[in-house]
Amino acid sequence: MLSPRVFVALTFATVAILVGAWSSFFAQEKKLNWYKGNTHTHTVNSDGDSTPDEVVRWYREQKYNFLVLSDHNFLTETSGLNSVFGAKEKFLLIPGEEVTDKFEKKDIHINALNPRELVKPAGGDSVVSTIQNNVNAIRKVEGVPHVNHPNFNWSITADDLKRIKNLRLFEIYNGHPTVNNLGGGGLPGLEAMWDDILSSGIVQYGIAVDDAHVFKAPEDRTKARPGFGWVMVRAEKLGATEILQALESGNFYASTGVTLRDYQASKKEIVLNIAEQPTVKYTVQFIGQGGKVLKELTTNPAIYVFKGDETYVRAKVIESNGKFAWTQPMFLRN
Amino acid sequence: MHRTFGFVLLAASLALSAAFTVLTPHALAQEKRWYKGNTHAHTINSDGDSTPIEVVTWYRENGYNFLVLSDHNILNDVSGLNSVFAVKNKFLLIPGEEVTDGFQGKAVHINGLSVREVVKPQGGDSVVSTLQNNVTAIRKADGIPHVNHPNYLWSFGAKELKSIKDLRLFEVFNSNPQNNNHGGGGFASMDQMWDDILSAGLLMYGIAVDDAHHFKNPWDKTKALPGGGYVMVRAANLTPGEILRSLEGGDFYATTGVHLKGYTVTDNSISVEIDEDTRMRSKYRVQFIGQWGKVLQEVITNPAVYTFKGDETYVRAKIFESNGKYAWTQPAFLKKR
Repeated sequence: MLSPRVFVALTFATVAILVGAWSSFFAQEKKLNWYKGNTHTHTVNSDGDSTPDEVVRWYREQKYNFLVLSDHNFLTETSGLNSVFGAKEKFLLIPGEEVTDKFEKKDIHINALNPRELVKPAGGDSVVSTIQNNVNAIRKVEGVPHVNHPNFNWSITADDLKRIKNLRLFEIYNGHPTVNNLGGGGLPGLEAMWDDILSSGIVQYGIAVDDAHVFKAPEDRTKARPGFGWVMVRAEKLGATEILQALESGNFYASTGVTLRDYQASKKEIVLNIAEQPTVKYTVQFIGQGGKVLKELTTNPAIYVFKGDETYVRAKVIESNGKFAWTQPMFLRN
Repeated sequence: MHRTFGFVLLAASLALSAAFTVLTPHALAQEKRWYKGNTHAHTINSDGDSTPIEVVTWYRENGYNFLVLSDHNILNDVSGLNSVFAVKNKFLLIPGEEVTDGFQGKAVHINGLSVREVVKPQGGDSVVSTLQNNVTAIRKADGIPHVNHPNYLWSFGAKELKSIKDLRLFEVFNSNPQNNNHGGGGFASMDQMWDDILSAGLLMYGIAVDDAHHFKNPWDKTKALPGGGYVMVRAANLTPGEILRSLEGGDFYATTGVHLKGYTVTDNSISVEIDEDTRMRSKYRVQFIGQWGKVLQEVITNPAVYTFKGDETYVRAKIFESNGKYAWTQPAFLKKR
């Protein structure tokens, strides 16, 4: 049995499949809980409109379990906030920063979750090298990187992301109203990019975030307001290490409002159980190589039995009012 | 082969036949402008959380040109509100009501726009007859009916709507978060329902509304908040008569935030010109949709132009914006000769 420390030390490229199998095995062995969290939000410490105290209060009142204040090139001290807002197994602030870099006109923004110290933008001579340099700098201070809003200013492509090493997480949904999640004008949306990456055999997990900046204009749909996208992370307890390990091993789902009661993936099948809301209906798509919908179900639980020729399978839950949940890909061993 | 395509206008007859009056796009475009409006909102006169004056203030401040306060089975007197809020060609309240009926657990809600007097729920011995009786009663009171949120409580679908006479408008988008616009669990989405109706040769126009009830909990995404969906109506003047005529004539588009500079239908083509949001650096794609909801063409140019091949029954455009906003133009039917 792998210990968490050994797991972290292993290189990502070689253990991706092991990780998937291990985490699902792990899920059955120990009692795990779901924790709701947002890893991307801003305060007056950069370009947000509210103080850290106000921002944390919003998420605490909305029943989030964890939050990362990710100001642009600023690492907000969270020990004081945690002593005020933290509550065992209920709420935790994890330190973080949005490393905010640029290459020519492309915006390269990468969150650093729980870095030991502030990471300065590392620069680079291309989009790919700028991403890679910042990912490396974040890893060097023991942070977990996630690449933000690839379609913001149409900056980062799937081909760029495929070339990045030591990266497991990127935003497939960001609640900011100008980050072009759906693509357009011939450029792919984030979900199509994700399938492109996964179809080339590269394991990257998709997170959903708010990227909230504005807490004082709740009715202004042109503003980046909170509460649109989040992750539900399955972990043994609400600690920074446990949450980040679960994120990096894909033991979570991304959501804009659909909640799952359970999700189990084995080498045989995927079983997904929706926590249904009254008067609402659901459709579950199991998606594989090339973004192809392998199966569409309206049952709950929704079960996909592997045929054996899949490279990966991920599930997307579509709710009748336009909310979604995205589970992480299960890769099959050849 | 000579082909004539045209905009279909509701004229003397509301009979749903193929014999529509054709109005040339040139005449339509003349000295007309777009007016932004919402035809479905609630106040404390039924189950809304705010007074009429607060509700009207919200829409006035948010750039709307017209509004219908459509309380459940209540017809608000808007003359006092209009004397405070109305401004020539800028803002207007049009009277209205949400006739709120039901049949055996199915919700049958139909807005009566500009009804002369309050219309009471008429009842019926089926969903279809309940729909029809209320539509007929609204027409009798000189009102314009629009059928609301078919998927609310999964109440009815294309099958029922196809049997309704004297009806031109239904909600293809309602942003109240219980209304299941997307369908699911085997039930059709509003877009699919619409194409089903149109493919049967029946002319119905799709409107977008917000069905707002809650103006005091802007953070609560489970509430029916204002601003989610609206119509952009092309008319020469902001009067109830002209706005409602344009709605029933299909001279409008439904939207959740995408705006058009122009929309023109000729005998040969449809042209959709998007008013691009450059500040947001949004990108767009336009689907031209025909019989059975088939995407006939997807275009990323602006203007997006669809040239008729001649074998279409109808063509409508749906515009997708890169942050998840949409606009729906009304179907152009091939005129049967």
